[in-house]
Amino acid sequence: MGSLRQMFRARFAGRVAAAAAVTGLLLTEPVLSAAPSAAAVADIPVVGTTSIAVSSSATARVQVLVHGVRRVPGGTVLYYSLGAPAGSQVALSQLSQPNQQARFPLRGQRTGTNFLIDGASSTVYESLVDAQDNTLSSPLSAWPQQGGTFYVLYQAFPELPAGVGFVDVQVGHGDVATHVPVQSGPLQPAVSGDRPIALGAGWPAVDTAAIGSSVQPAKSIHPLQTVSSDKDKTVTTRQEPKKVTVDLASDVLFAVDSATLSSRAQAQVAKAVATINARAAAGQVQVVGHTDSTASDSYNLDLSRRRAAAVLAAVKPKVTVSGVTFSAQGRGESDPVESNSSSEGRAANRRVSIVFTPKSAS
Amino acid sequence: MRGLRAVVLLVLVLVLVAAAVWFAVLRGGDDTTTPDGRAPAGDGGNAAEITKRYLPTAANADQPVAGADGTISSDVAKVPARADVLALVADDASTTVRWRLSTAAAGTSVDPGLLSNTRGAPDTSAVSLYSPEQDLELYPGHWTATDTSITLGAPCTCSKQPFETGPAGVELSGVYQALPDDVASIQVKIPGFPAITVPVTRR
Repeated sequence: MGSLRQMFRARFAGRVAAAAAVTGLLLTEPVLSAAPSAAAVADIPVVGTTSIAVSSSATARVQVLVHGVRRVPGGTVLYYSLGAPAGSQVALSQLSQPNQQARFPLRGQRTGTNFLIDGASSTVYESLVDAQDNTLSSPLSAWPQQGGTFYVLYQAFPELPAGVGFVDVQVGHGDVATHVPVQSGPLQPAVSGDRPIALGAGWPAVDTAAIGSSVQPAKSIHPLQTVSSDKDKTVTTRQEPKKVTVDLASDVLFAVDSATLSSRAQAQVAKAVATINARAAAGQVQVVGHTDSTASDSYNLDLSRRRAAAVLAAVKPKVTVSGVTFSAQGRGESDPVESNSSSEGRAANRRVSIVFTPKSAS
Repeated sequence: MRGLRAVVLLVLVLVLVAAAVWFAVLRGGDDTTTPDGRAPAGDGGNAAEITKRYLPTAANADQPVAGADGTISSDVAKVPARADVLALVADDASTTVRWRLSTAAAGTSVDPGLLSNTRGAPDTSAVSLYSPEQDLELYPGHWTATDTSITLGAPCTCSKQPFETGPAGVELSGVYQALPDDVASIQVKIPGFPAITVPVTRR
């Protein structure tokens, strides 16, 4: 029933409002005094929401509305607005400080510190920049000046791949509007974005020529690494767009100074192989042994090689995906993930990594 | 003929009134929140309607689905604190948790790094999701930013840690990888608090 209602609202809300206006029917509460008086946009989309608590004044909250993530020539534009309760000028100014503590940090004289997250491809998109390293985004002069209404801002990003239908929008220092649809074309009508734009007065004009000529857009695209593990952290998986790495704790796989797999090792190896089989893709499996720094370099290098070979022998017959190639190597103590100064750090460094690179990504 | 026109006009007006009333009722109906507990997105309106619907007020503060009492480090001492999970939503691409950190006293400072997995970084990367059935613990994602002037360490798909909180609390969030389909509830693990078990809402 809820979805039917939403469908009704989405499809007919505009028509009903227009008809009601003609017949003089009042559908809503009286227009708020702080709202723009001469609205140029009658039907404003809201495709995502989040809120930002102002750190230094926890009682003040600024609402973020996402109006669109839109494909334009050469890039992607995020349209969003910020709104604080009436009388919240202080909150708005505190929200945007050019420092680490601000919940919505500024980048120079621009506002472009939002990110687009595509979880499906493990990719994060940062603002496009021009030759002077200015983000292609609303200038500081467009920042909201008073509470009681929303003000519209924009930020330009690199082009999203054609298959990306939804993204999460991370606003400022980490507050997230989730599952925002990616749509085509800039929002209209466009108005100058050099001054604050009250919601309804139009959308900030986007310089598509600047977007098309932005400096090294690839620099604004980052692989996202996500980490998961079991409770005891004996199997830790790091997912990236082009590879997945499964770290198996050597303390579970082997006895001290041994390269013979323990009885408990099979379950850990099975978890790692399940990750590879789940990808269902041909590719390359590299098994890499690591040690802590307790013994000599040469001893550790040899031990890591023997352990990598033992794990490879256990992994290989369990991989059911065809077209997978295998290799093993040892790196001794040369590639720690933690400091060797603590017992916890040394335990983390004693590991065998299984790195799977699907063929399409290699 | 005039009578017929009047009837047609009356019917037209009644239809519009009915549609308007239905629409107005729906706006205040029982589906006024999204799966993540927020006001609904995707239903636009004019500026006045949207301002009325979304502008933050005490009345539209989100209600928690679960919570726990714990402590946070503040100016060396530990002080009682409250963590409330507002929503946990999963889809095929990611899992998002929103939660609120509050204390009884206004202006309570929060020690830097308290909620972080990255040394010295004032983020909330140590907040994890744990499924006992799957023996699976998830952490927020990380990446390397071009501009390091606004970040410390690796940027995280999680909120920066607040430096202060108080009775109203500070809302925080994190984006994690997608959960397996058969995970119906999950523990939100926040340093200083007992694990908070919350239902997983599927989008």
